[in-house]
Amino acid sequence: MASKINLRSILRIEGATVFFALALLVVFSSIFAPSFLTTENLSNVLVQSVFVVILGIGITYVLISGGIDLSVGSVMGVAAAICVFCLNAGAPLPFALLAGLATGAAAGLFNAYFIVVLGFADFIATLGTLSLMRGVVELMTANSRLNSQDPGFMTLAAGSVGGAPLAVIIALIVALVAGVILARTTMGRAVYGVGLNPKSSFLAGVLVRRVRFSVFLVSGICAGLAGILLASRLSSVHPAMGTGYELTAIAAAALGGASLAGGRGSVLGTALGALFLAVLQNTLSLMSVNAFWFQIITGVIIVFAVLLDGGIRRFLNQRSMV
Amino acid sequence: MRTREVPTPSDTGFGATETFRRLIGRPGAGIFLFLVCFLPILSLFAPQMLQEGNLAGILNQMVFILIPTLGMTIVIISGGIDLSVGSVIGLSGGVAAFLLTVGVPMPVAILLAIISGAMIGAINGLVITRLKVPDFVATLAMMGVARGILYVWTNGIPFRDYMGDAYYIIGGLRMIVGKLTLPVFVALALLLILTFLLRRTHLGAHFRATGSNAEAAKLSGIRPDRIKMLAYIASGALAAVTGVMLAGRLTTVHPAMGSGYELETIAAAVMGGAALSGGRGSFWGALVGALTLTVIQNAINILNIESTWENVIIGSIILFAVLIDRAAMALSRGGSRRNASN
Amino acid sequence: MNARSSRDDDARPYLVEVRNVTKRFPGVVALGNASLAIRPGEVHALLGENGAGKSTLIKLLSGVYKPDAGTILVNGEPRNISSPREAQGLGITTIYQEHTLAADLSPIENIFLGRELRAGRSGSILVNRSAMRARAQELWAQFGGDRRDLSRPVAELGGLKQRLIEIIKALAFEATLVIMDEPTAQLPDDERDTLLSHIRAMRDRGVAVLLVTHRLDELAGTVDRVTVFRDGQWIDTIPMAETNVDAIIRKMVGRDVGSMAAAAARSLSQSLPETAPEVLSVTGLSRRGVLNNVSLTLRAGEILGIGGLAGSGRTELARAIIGADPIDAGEIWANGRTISPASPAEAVRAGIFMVPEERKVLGIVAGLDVARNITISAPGKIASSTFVQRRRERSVAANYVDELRIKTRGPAEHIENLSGGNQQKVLFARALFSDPNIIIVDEPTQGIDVGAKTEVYRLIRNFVAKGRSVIVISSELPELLGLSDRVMVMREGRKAGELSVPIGAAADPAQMAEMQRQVMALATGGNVGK
Repeated sequence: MASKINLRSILRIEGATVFFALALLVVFSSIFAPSFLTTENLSNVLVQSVFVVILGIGITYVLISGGIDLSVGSVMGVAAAICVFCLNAGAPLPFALLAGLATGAAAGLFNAYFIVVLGFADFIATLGTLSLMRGVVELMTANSRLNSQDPGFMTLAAGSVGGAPLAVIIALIVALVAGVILARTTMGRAVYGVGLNPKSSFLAGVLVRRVRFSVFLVSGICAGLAGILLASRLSSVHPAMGTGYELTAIAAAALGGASLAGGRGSVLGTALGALFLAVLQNTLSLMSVNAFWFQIITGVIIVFAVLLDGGIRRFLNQRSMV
Repeated sequence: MRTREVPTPSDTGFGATETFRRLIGRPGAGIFLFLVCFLPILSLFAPQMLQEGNLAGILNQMVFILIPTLGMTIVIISGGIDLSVGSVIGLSGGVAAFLLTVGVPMPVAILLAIISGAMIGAINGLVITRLKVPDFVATLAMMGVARGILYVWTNGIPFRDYMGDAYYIIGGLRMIVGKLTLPVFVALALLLILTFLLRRTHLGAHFRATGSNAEAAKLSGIRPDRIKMLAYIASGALAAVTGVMLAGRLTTVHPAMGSGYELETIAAAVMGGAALSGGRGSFWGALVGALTLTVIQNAINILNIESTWENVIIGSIILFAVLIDRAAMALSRGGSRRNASN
Repeated sequence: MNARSSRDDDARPYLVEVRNVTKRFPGVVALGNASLAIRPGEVHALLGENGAGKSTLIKLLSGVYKPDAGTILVNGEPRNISSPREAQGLGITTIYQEHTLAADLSPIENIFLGRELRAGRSGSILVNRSAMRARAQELWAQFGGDRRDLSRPVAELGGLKQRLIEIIKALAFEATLVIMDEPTAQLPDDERDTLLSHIRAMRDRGVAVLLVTHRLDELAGTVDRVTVFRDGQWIDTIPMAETNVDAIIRKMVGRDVGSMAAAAARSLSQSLPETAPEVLSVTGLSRRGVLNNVSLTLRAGEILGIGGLAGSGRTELARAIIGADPIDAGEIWANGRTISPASPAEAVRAGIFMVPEERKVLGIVAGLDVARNITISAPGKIASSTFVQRRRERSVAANYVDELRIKTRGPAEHIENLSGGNQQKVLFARALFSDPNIIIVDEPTQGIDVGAKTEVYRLIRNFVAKGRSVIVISSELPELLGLSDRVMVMREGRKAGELSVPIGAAADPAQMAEMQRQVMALATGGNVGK
């Protein structure tokens, strides 16, 4: 068994590029930000990354299917608001959590209805939803602040199981389930076909409309969950909660190798991409770099990620042509 | 994609119906009709809506969306999208304000601010055409970068104390003709110049060809990359013009200035019939789109609706507007017999 | 080796001459020492199987590629053609196979795209719209076009008009040589004839045409001389009057495959399934504006051909049967029960699968490997308890690759790297994998070379030999008549008629010709005055 490990076969592995980038970054951070490698900080980074990981996973489904969902940041806010609202109205915790998730799902179905049934461009439909849902959050938080000190609710983000933060475990479970569904079930694989060529997938017997419906539903539920967790961490919902998260989530997915043209991407890649962004933000703050630099660097990284991905694909294809 | 077959009534040839179909098939026509019907109904509830002062107010406000929408329309027609518009508005406003505070003469400050916007557009264009980064990603990144630069530069503290007499006029805080302000005339001039350039030079066809079929454009001897560069530079410069005027209107440049403009301008362009797939769109439509958005915002103010409703209403309107335009297109297509080229 | 064949006794100088040109790509010699000579005002056909080097030669002439060795002469002078613009300057304009019009622009804008007529002095930035309109109208009138068409978006014009606009685009700039890469590929027969007559008219006005085509039946009557390429090499240049299609095919493939009809035809031993049970019965299928009360039946082991002009409702009928498009009325009975599929997925479950036309757009899923392109039709079959078994998928795909003789480096190769013919075989494997007993194939040999065509015919034959059934939709009459037991002809969304094809008819040229005439008569409403 002469198993020759070559660069190409490694690069072919999903998420390999972003993994190396992350590893490099961690090495860099450990050297230049000495407090980076403390248990407390690492656990902090992980918890900090959870929201974008979960959000990004939902977006990854949509991106692979060839769509885009700009509404996730606002949906986060609405789901969180509904959840806290139910808690404050005296509803039991499980009911409140379900209500929050259901809100996310409903928003996803709303998007899907406009896109799949009415035939809107995803960009426009989810842009409309972005505005609409943001408005709902603002309305809900206009006259009363939505705070919750419910101990059970706070546990979601603050609690831990056997030393591991509960939020991180939740994110891991979500990633595992979403990853296996995407890579190993017939439904998940159909998402790729739809993203690459919806017309031929349809004629080959793929239920394209159902797939497109599902990805927006998944994205909505993920956004709902991310919103609930964020609200638990902040123990409140403010009117702008979740604003801008859609861009970070898209950046994470792009870093992880998801193509905005559809057909490519993976849950693992996106999760690593989100982790990369969280580590970066953490390192910058540890090095007391002006927090505003994060935006600039994120922007540059997004472009760089796409370039690198393109370069690697060309590198891989070169070999396969000869 | 669903193709809804509209029954074809016996070809009426070139009657009034055909002319009507042609008109309603033009980008933005559906929204225009909607606006025309919507205004009188609104004015029933809020008679002050149609008063001269308010109408002028709508115009004065509208141009701040219209000008960047003109740029966005050019970009969308040529097959791209520019998400950095809002950040460019903020950054170029910041450049103008900063230069004024350090004593640079106003014309120079304004010129440099506009050049800075054009340069950001050029960088967008280069990243997209040379590095082959998708439009969406490149301008999304630029949105973060330009906004980040403004924050890092100001350290989060707004620029102040740059307002001179002339800048009140530029910002549209003083009326110059009747109840109209300078930005209205700037927008009008830009609209006329751009319309002229697109209709009477080769540029219009080249923008649309690039967005519609870049390969065909290339084979015809056009360089689509150049055309795209031009579109992004135009979008950056037009956003910068808006930024300069907005800095005057707001009298301070907060580092978040212009946030959200990218979405409003895309909404306005799309409501005006610009197709995100490229090749289709018009300045006339951009005007209608910007007007519709502004009228709605104005109605929210006048009807004393809590301003928190604004986002909900704008979101609904975007969705609704596309439906209307779709219906109008379907109506016009019904007559012109879609050819089954699969 | 020289393109001046011994039979070539015309003394006129050549308009364009390619001498001993070589073009290499990494790992491949696309053209080796190839030659071609075109006379002013002739229609010259460039023929060869896929991979023969035709496209490379075209791109050399139009300035997209540069030759590694050899010379190109225009009007007797050696030229270095380094860009499409330069080629146009020399009077060489190319009309590519993919539509090269911008769909959102009007014909006028398309015709003058990149070369707008200027107002006033030549340096002016303003365009002269009225001059462009006038020139376009003048040219359009020569082709008998309606001037109203000129201001509508090109997307609203049909395929023929779009082709004509492309020709006008070439003519507007005084082209002396127009290169056309498969101009008739997507046109129905009547429009193809119109286009060919326009090509002849161009020749009569002194414009030379280099025609690349897979449809050999359109050579006679239009083409003056034929040049055949094989494997990047010049094989022969012959006046069309001195040869025939079968001789040309022999030169193209380097072996004798007989006529297309014979290649497609069933052997004499295969008898008609007289007593075979019906497996599909369609009654009164209607879809507003598209299909009008169409009925058909299909028996086990039978191949039913559907003929008719493009746009006559052939493809639409197939799409309606598999539920890809909604229907307004009608009943579909398949394999013992009435079905009303709302999507192709339901048709798959009912045992009907369609291999669509336009392979690249509607067929392959580029970006997925061969294996996943096959299993997409029935993913459940490679999954156990909801999880996909990759190993099973690979072995299933490997079996099909062997069985159907698909030329690929393996199931993990991306499908876009395969040749057209092999892609078509993968699509056939996709159909087989869903285990249907009825396959509908729409233009199964569109744009694939002669060798691959016979392979596809073999696959279809093998399928029905197992007692299953096929519906073939084809614009190529020899293929349609050769394959089918029965041919149903569509016209304007209705069934225009039906004829059965006797065994052995394909071997009889006279009978084939008569049947082709009958099909055309039905397809066009009986107005073929031959």
